[in-house]
Amino acid sequence: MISRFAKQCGGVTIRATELCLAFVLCASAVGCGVSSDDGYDPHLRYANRSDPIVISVPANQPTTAPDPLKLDEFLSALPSLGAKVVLPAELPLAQRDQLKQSLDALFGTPAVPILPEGIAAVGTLSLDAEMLAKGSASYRIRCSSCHGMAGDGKGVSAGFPFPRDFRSGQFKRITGVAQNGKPRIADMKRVIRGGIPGTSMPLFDLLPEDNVDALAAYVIHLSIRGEVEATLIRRLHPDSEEDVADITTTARVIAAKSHRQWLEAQLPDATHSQPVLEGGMLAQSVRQGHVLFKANACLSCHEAYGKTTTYRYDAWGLPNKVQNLTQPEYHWGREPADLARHLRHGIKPANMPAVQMKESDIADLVNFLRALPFPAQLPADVRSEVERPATGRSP
Amino acid sequence: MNSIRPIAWPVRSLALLTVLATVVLLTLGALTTSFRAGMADPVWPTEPWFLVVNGHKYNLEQHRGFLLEHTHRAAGFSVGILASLLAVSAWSAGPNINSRLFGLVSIVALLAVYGGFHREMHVASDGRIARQIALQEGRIDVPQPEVFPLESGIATAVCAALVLLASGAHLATNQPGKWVRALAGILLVCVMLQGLLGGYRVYLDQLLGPELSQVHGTFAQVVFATMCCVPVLAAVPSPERQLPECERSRLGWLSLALVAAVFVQLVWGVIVRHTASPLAQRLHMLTAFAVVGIGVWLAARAFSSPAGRRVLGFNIGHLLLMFVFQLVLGVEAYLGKFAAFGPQGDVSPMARRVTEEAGVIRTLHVLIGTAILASSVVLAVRVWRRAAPNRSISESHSLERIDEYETVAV
Repeated sequence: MISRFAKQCGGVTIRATELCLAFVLCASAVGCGVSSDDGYDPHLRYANRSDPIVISVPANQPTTAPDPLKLDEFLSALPSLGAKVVLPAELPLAQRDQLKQSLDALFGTPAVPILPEGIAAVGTLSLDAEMLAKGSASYRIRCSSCHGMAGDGKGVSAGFPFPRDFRSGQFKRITGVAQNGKPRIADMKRVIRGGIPGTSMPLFDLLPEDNVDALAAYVIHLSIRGEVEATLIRRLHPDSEEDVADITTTARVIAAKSHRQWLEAQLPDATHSQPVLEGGMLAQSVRQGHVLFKANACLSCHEAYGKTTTYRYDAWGLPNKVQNLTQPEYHWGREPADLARHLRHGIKPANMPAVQMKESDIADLVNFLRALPFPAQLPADVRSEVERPATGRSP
Repeated sequence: MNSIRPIAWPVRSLALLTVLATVVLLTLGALTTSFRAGMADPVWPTEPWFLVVNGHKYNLEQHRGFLLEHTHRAAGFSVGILASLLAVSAWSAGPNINSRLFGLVSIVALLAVYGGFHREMHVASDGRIARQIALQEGRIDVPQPEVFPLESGIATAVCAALVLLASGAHLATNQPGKWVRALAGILLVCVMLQGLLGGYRVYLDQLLGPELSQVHGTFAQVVFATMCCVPVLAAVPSPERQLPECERSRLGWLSLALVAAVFVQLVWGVIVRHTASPLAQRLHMLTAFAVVGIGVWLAARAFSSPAGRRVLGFNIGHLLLMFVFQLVLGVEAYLGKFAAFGPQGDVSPMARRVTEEAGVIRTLHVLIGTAILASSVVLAVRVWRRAAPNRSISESHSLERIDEYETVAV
């Protein structure tokens, strides 16, 4: 009986082993160099920009956000809604070809990205060819499916809220004193590492530091390249009043200007000092902040403190859902310094204006915003007003 | 003389229900990949009831990918529950008390420990969210939560090994219904592993990119094909539904060759879906010829004899029909992905946005491929399955002589 048992076990084991081996051999094909993930194909070139460049958004705000699968149609319809756009397809073919050649010569290819001479670094972050190539390979695996190969924010996996379009050279999270649309390297690394809660932007907190640096460097490359392309398209457009004598020379000038802005953006903004209040003084500050919130027309966008679903066009012509301030999950965190900065400078790409207030008023408004998601922290009179039902549109 | 039905009808029904639930799960998974929504929610794990509680916050048009991915997760939980019930119910009906106890204890232990592991992953996920907030605020002093809870992970692995050992040992016996019980145990482990693969695909995306999604996709097909064997093995075919020995020798190895060819074809297909590998694209198309060739050869051999026609006719017939559909869908899927036309003509195929039509065609192509693999495996089981003569009930209680339905191991 034992020998029969052993024989049967042996038979089953041998067969099972054969099957497993076959499975492993086949499955290892998945990872043994058959799939290529070392970087972009060296034959790939950046595609010509074909989507509209939005100069100004429609006057009437949108009532919903588009289906991510139908983004091209939505952008094509913007002019009919009153937006002012520049269509790259309206450039003469010869100029488009020349533009592409100039961009390829100055910025390289996705596999071998470069920057024009003179653009070597931003702060302590090197932008040399080796760093950019490393960043490009990492970007391809981790970022391109949402942010797109050229950083257009229209990648194959892009969902709502839409990923950042780097090509305009404008970013939302900016802690530099220059407030010129460019972030500090530290801001970029914070977003890369920490992700953005409530969106599909994940954390990359397990990546080594050099990989994060390389990603930041490559994003800067995409941003400068995108800015040069967009600016040249606008200037070359038949309706433009500007004259472009030589495309390559003009491209270098625009790239140099963009680089200067990146350098200027690295100086940090003044640190906001939020007084620590407790008890009755805090309640009074929150109450005052509420008054300021209403007086500065914040409710015009953050209807019912954001409980009503409203959309506003951003600088890229895409609808953004206005932040629900009664929910504790903020895209950019709820630190007093961050909130104060957003109030002081606004969020330009989101068309959120800056408030003109003295520091003490900003501190009160910050206290109100920090308490808003937590009804127990609001004074009773403020709470009753905040909790009034919203006449909301459904999500 | 009474013949014993080795597997009770509730177990057979549960096996069928699990297969149907897995079809739904596979459909959602294929749609998730077709529409590139695998990372729509970078947070994992989430509660099984996440959509029930939070679904109202999301809009189908704007958040299609997110809702698709979360529905896939919910379906995964359902299949996990059904696989657990199947394993417990199959082993509960075992004729031998020792093997029944061993099997049940190891399964229950696995379920308990896996639940603990999942709880710890939830805690780690909460820790990650806290870390995310801290990183946003510029604080890097918050410690990194565990990527893999080691202790509960090892305990889960040990219990899984026990279940596999119980299943393997059970196969070495002569108990009726041994294959169903063994497969139910193995499938439970596989379903858990598949769930972890899917979760870690999200959790470790930053380190591994889409690599794990390829393993997740491949393994799903294997698990489903194995799962389809359970209701087949649980059924009691009549003697005229058994292949004679001479037919088995003619068809046996060819049926295995078909399974192998379909599986290899499927692996190339997974690579084509997830990467830009030109080699995989070519091999996927070339292997299709091999699959069709072997399938037609097998059909010709099977249909050349009355016994083959009688026993395997339906199986082979619908397999050939699926080949036809699969080829047509394959051509459409290929053209939709790789042909350059329209506004996205300048964009590389992997970077093109997927239209609804293209996504549906690719999903159907994947699902038919899955069905082809499952059908091939079931066909092979039917070819290799051997029935011993029926025994009386009193005879059947002698464990050494029980041999009601024995399938020769493939």
